[in-house]
Amino acid sequence: MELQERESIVEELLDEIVPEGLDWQRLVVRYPIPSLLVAAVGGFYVGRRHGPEILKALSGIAAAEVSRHVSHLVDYQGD
Amino acid sequence: MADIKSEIEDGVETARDAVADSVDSARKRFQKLGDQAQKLGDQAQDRYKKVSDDVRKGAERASKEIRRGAERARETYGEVTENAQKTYERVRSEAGNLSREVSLYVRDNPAKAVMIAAGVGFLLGLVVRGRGGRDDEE
Repeated sequence: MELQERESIVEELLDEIVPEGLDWQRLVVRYPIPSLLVAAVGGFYVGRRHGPEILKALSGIAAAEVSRHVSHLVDYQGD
Repeated sequence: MADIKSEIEDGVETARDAVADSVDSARKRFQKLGDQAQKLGDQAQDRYKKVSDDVRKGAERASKEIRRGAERARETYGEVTENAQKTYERVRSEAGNLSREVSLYVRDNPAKAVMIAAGVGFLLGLVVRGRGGRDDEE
């Protein structure tokens, strides 16, 4: 169940990234290896250009999420 | 008068003997020279024959060695070609299998496969950027 949820999140994310009207799933199913290559090249480009910024943002989100959970836990135990 | 005649005849006889001796001696010398020349000629011919035999044998041996070497090289080339062809076939077959498996996986899980590929690319980009940055610093 959790896996399916995660996959749907990924699909939603890809739907948001990919331009509207482009059926990316059909393209990937039809041309699997070129699609992987395009994705890898895109990832490489993004990682090379904005890698550290993205990592910083992701670690900020993770830290905020952890602190939210901790404060939620503390509030719960205080009650 | 008879004495003079007999003396002349003696002289003529002596001269004829001397000439005959000289001719005989000359003939013997010529004979000897001819024999020596014949001997030298025979020796030269023997040597020539020997040298020509040696050269022929050497040429035959060299030709045999060259033929053997060529045969060995042909065998080695054949083996190497066969091995290379087998390796190529095996690698092609394995690559084909891998490609088929990857394609199947991608068809079953398109979103996941694309994200994994993008993630791998992202990490590679980060590593390359890190290395480039370090090189620039140096």
